Amino acid sequence: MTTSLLPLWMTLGYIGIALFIGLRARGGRLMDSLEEWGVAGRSMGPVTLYLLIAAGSISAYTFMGAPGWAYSKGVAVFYVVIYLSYLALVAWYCGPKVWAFGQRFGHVTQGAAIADRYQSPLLGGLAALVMSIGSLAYAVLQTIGSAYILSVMSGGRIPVWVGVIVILGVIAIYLYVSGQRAIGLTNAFQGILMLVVAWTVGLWAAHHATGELGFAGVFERLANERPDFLTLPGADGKMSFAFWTTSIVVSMLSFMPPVWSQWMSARSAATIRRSATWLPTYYIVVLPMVVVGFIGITALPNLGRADTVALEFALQNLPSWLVGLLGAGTLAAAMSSCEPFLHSVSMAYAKDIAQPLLRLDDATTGRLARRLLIPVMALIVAPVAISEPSNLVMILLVGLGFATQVLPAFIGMFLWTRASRWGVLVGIVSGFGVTLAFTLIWPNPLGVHAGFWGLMINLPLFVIVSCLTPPVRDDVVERFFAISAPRRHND
Amino acid sequence: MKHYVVRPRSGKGWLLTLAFVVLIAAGIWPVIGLFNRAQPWLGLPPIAVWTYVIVLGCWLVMLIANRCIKVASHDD
Repeated sequence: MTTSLLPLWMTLGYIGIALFIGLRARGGRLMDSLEEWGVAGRSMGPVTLYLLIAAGSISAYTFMGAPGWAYSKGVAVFYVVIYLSYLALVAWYCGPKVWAFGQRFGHVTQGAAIADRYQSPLLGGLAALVMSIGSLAYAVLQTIGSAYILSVMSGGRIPVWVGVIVILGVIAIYLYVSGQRAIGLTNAFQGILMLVVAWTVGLWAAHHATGELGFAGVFERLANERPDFLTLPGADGKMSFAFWTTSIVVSMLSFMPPVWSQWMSARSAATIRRSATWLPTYYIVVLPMVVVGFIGITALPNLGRADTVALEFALQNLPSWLVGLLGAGTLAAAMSSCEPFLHSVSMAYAKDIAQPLLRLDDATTGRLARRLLIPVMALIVAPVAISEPSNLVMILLVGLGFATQVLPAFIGMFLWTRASRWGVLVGIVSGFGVTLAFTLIWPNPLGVHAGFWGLMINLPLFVIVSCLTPPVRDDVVERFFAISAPRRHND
Repeated sequence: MKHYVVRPRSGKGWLLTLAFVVLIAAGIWPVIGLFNRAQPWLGLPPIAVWTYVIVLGCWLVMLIANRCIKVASHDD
């Protein structure tokens, strides 16, 4: 096992580079408006947007959780690659429309678009508030992952609480200074770094384990010794076809707020289409890290925590420069996913909750969003991350379950003119209630994802109540569907 | 106003919708069951190979769609 300080210095070096890039991203612009700080002046080109969305969707999960799933469950882990590719299809279809809403109607947040479509600041604020629960839980998990990496790379010299403060401090500085532009440029750097690290580590680990420069030897050995890892329902028997299918459907229909802001940051609608088109190609980053997890099945059979398999394998078998590279790559994955969520929560609290509640003007709201970042990090994310709560994953699951239940609001924006405010509200509340019950009380009945059960109640109620209650004003529906269905609108 | 559900307005639009539906069907049950075998193909588990076929399919369909669709006036 490596005792060198090189991995720590490489990881700290990565943090320094990310900070430098994040600060330089501002480029002398004033950042007190939501147009600049929130959506980068709607100026991002296709390559930056591609890496922004790709790196944002590849979290610490890819470097820790995904190898851990391969190690404990097997091929079930590939459902992630499939739903990420389907999210690219969703981005291709919905992203240009969301961009056009933002450009024509001045939306900078998801909640603002919902409030406008349904003429209900209450609905927009409610969606923003509850979405923020999942977003904050996600940011906390990524922060804990980042602090854990620093602790491992320093051989325990940097305790988790110091790691949390260092990581959040660095993110706070460049996010406050450069906003969405910092997220764009740091994610571009992190995206390239992750791709290089994942393939270098994966190929090196496979060569170390089998003597080959490929993955075939790893899977031939498993097919002979542990074939249960290569088929569903996986080695632990939990990924049935029903759970695989419903997990993919629920995940691809989750419209998380940071993604919405990323779409709105594009230079044009066509830019989003170009980025979305190439997005699936990025997900080859998952394969080599998953292979490390498969190697761990035979190389590290008695590991206590599955999600440490890649790090443990690297520490025991790889040269220290590669361990440092893996530390930097894992940290890049965690930070690139953490910062968009922190940014979107600050914007949502200022724009969707404080502005309608306190009747603030746009300039004050812009300044407030930027300043809210610090208390959100210092008073919520840091203390929760340092306390490492055991039920955080549960909060995250409930939060993500809710994200899917907001689907009716989006159906009413993109597909169905008759969707009413009450229909959406009843759908969301009933779907959330079912998801909550089927997550906490009776987890995933009949092997079907709790969020899918929620949708099965949510969507019929949404349609029935929408048909029974007054529709939104014609002029509002017409201006939205002039974008969502331009041909129909022009006929 | 007369309310409606948005649907494709051209043959190309319907073909594109069909391609999206086929791609999504390819990744879920029952299709995924056809690849649920332990013996590796091309050095990878069949489910992994099929996963990356779907990734490639998504990329190709969007690439073709970008060339086919008539770009609406709000683009650029």
